[in-house]
Amino acid sequence: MSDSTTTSGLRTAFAARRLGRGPLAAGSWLVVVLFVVTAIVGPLLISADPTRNTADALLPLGATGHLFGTDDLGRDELARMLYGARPLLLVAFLSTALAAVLGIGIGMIAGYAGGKVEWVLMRLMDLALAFPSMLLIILIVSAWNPGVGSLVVGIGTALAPGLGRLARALAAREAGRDYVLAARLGGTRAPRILVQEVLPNMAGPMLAQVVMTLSVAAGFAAGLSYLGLGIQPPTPDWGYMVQAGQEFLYTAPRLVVLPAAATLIFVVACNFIGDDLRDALDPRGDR
Amino acid sequence: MRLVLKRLAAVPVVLLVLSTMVFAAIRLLPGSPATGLAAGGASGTATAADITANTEKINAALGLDKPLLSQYWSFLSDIVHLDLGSSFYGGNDITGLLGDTLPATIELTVAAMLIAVLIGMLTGILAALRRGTWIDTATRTIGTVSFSLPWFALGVLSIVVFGVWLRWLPVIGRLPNALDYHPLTNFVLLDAILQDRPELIWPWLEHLILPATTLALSMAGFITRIVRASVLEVLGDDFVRTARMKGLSPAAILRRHVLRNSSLPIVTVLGLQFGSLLGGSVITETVFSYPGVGNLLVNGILQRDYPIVQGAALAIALLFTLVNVFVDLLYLALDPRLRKA
Repeated sequence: MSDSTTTSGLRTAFAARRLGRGPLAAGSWLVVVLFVVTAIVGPLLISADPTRNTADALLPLGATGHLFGTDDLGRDELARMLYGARPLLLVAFLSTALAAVLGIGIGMIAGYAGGKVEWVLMRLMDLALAFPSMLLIILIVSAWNPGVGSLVVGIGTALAPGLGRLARALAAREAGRDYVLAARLGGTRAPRILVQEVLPNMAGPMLAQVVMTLSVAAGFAAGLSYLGLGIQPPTPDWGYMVQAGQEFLYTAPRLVVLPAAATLIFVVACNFIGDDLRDALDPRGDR
Repeated sequence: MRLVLKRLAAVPVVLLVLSTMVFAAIRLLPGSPATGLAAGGASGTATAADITANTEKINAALGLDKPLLSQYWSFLSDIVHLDLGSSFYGGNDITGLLGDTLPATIELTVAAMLIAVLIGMLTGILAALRRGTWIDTATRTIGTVSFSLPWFALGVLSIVVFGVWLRWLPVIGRLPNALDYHPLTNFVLLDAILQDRPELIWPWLEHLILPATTLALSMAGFITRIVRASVLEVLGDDFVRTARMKGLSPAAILRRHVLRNSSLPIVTVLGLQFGSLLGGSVITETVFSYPGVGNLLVNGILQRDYPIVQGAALAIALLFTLVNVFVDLLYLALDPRLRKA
């Protein structure tokens, strides 16, 4: 391993200590971790079935046996809130992962290869970026059937070019470094160089950008399921719960406020941890 | 002038690329629209035989049974002739539907841009002038948050607060149903002037405030950041010092020098962010049941009404292109240096 890799590793280690400074950043990390844990563990702790209709429709907050009351079909709102976090988190994380794999993969190849390969790949990205992402996602989702899979593919594809551009720039910078040259002269093949040498050296700034993408992906995921293009009822989902609750705005505003506020808090917290990561990993980055 | 013409000449090319993408998205992606349509339809219950029969019928109606190249050709020639077909349900003419909805979307997005610029300028100037204080920190933090606010959550929460709890503003639609409105251009403000009906304006504005502000907030954050930076940058410049020495009042300096210099980056943000604004309008229009193109698009998708999806997507792409051209032209108007280049 070359010098540059070692210093970069050190930098990352030091950076981790800079995370979560300040109440806002610390709070945001807490919120995101809490949401993830709640989405995974929460449903296991309660017995109520979020899809079982009962006669007790629209019970208020704090009703016996229903802490958050019930919805219009008498389903326990607390259970729906706990289960409803899952589709949002699932789509947000999976689509970010897809965007990262696509974007970083294509960007690295373009940046490392240069020349015609770079030109063609980057023009493709420009094309995707020139199209409003929401429209792109909606077209992809509507061509398939609405659901988690098509949302992940749609959002992942639409967000990949943004990451791809950064990956290309970072990879192009690293491609000219001595350690890459050394590896090439040593007979290492390009895919191996990319994964073992180049990737670790661009990991810091890339990671920060990926987490920023997470909050955008979460926003899209929630918005599209609000439109009814996400997971289909009766499976609870925050976005769709807001839409369904809009019918009862005047009688039971909590049916809208609870899932909407939860989504808002999660997306904003994701944005803050992305910001925090960028500050920690890429101190020279724009601020 | 040559630059202007050059920019305008590029419009058809960009439109061609965008409409090709719409064409490709609908036809080349796995899963034929017709199968989905035939299976789902309005009722949602269909036997396998029904689906096959329906699929063929729909494919024929959409021309999807023809070879791809000939489909592409007729798709383009239909666009040129402004013939976008008719809706599967109800059989409405799509060009007509777009004529009704596009002006509403234009009103909404333009209002959102104006509000974003207003909020962004005020907060940006305030943050720069109070640099390093808690006001600055708070403004910048809120600016960071605003990039990522999910529109639908913001929209419904504002409905709950201003519509349900405070009852200050109407929360649904574009104009009250009771209002006797006979659209001429479908732009309410323009119609109010042309038809001499000033009483239309207030209800229209009232309906516009919440959706436009919801949409504006994500863009305002960018503008705050830019205005703050350019105010700080310019405040230290020689020409500002000169202006101050000339005895120009701070307000005049701000207006004449500082804001003029930050207008260019603001226009850049408006152009760059307009795509996302249009995306947001799809959701915001649904939240507020606002009768725009986004609403049309979403209903088209939910009902699997493909001609509507295609038409609405094209309209959004067109609007997107036109605004970007307009932004480029505005650039030329604002910066004399670019005109000479």
